[in-house]
Amino acid sequence: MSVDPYSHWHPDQSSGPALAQRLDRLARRLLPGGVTALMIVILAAPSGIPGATALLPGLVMSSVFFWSVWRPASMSAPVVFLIGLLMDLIGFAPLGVDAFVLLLLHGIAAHTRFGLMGLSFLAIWVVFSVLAAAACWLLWLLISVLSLNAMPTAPAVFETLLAVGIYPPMAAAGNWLHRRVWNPEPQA
Amino acid sequence: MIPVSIQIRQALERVWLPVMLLLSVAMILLGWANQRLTNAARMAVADVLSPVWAVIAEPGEQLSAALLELRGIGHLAQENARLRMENETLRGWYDVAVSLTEENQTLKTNLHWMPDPVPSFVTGRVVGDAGGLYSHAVLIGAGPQSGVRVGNVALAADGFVGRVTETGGHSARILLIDDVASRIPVTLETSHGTAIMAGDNSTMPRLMYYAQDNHPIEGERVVTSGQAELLPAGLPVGTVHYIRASTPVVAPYARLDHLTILRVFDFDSGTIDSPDAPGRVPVAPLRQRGAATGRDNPMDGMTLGGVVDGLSGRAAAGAARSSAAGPVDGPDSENGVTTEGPAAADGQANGWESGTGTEPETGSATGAATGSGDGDDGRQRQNGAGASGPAGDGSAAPAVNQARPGRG
Repeated sequence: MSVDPYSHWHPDQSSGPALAQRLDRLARRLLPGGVTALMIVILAAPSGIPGATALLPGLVMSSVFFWSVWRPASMSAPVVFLIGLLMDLIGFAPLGVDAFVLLLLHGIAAHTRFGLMGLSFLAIWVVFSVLAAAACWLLWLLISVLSLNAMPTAPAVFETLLAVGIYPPMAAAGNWLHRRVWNPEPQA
Repeated sequence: MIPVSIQIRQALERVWLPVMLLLSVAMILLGWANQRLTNAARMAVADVLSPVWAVIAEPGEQLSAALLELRGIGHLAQENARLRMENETLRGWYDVAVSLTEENQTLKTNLHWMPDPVPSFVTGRVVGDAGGLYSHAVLIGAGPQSGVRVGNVALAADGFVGRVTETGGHSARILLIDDVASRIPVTLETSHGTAIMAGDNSTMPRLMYYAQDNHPIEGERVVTSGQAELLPAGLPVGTVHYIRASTPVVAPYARLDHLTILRVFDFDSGTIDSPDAPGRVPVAPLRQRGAATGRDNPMDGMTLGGVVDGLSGRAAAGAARSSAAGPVDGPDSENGVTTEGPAAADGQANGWESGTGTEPETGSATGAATGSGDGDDGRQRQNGAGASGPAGDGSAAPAVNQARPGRG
């Protein structure tokens, strides 16, 4: 292979990012969804955590909401759909119900994100609480309708309270991840 | 990522959400319409994840065991005293149990008690919570490969837990008794009443449909009832407790929220077929001598008592009839002999004796029947014996009567 040493033409050199960079970017994009899916799997194991099944929807909702507001590219609609489907399949709820409700939550959060990002943390928390309560009751309604049987309301109330309560720690963890992973500090 | 123009990417992003919403609605409809497919998908996911869950659960269990031990160290003396007292009580109960077992054994021998079939069981670890918020179920790490089948009964160490509702490759889902969908027929031991135990997603299932003049008594034992042929009778479930006046619930013996190891029993209750009620079986008309028509009707030639073996014995009977080809009316008499209630065995044995001993034409009939190539020798013989009745065209009862005196 004879390369003209005086030529500046390098046909093999691509102008785009290198493979490692691409993989890195892909990993960052998939991280929130992957972490959420991992939480779903781990919480379904018999861990002995009290109320693990009631905690799961709140955890997933807050994760979806947080990333939909701050990083909608990492929590895109297909990822939300897959997360919801995984929840349905593991939890033996009527298929597609969780996916539907989570997609609605994601849609609302992603559409109002520019308004939400300007608000203080407390205001966002209040908005999330309202949305999570609506989502929990929509879930209750859908499951009741699909199983042709009015489900007990106590778990829905419990679920809502846990969702509201789990949001601050989730948001703190997400904030930390958001800063560390997307804006890595320059190496000294 | 595929490099696309900004316009296309924006359009795609705008389109993703409605598409996914539609897809999820389609999933809801699909899951609602085709339960079998969704259950298969769920069990496939559970099969994949159950080893992962088993690995996750392992350190947690060790941790909780260690914690329990640590807690126990603090109350060693107290615990020791309690155990010593309990041991004394249990020693007394042991003597009672031994004497009662022996008495029970004697009584059963005297009564010619039919022993219950010994169930086979497999023991599995609970690897996952397959319930979710609105249902209560667990996943165990044993599936059809280990003999677990749908409908099997799951017991914890201290009582009845639920039934297997779905099975995957090497995992099975057990619907617990406190699930909304669970309805278990139970017997109340002290008041001798029956009721339905219905789950309501609380830890204590309700009691429904008990007799209004025989209310459940607070504290009495609840065991399963064998009525619906779903469960064997007598499995311990729990005790009756009134949370409010006229609201009896069952406090289950098993700790339904902390299940770790379950035994799954195959009681095989489906094999107990109840006998057909006589009134419901069409009585065959007396058949004309040598009438060869009507062979296609499976109920043909059956009498009141001859239903059970009638179908299985028909092939042999037909063969005998065609080869003997005479006025001998094989099927009817054969049916009568084989299955006339408890006399069936007698009829078989005696029929052969009487047939060989007295009637001259039996030899040919038997020979023909045996020669027709059907494997069941006993049936052929008895078939011949039945055929040797004097008239041959009588209904079943005379044939039996004919066979019976031959014994003497």
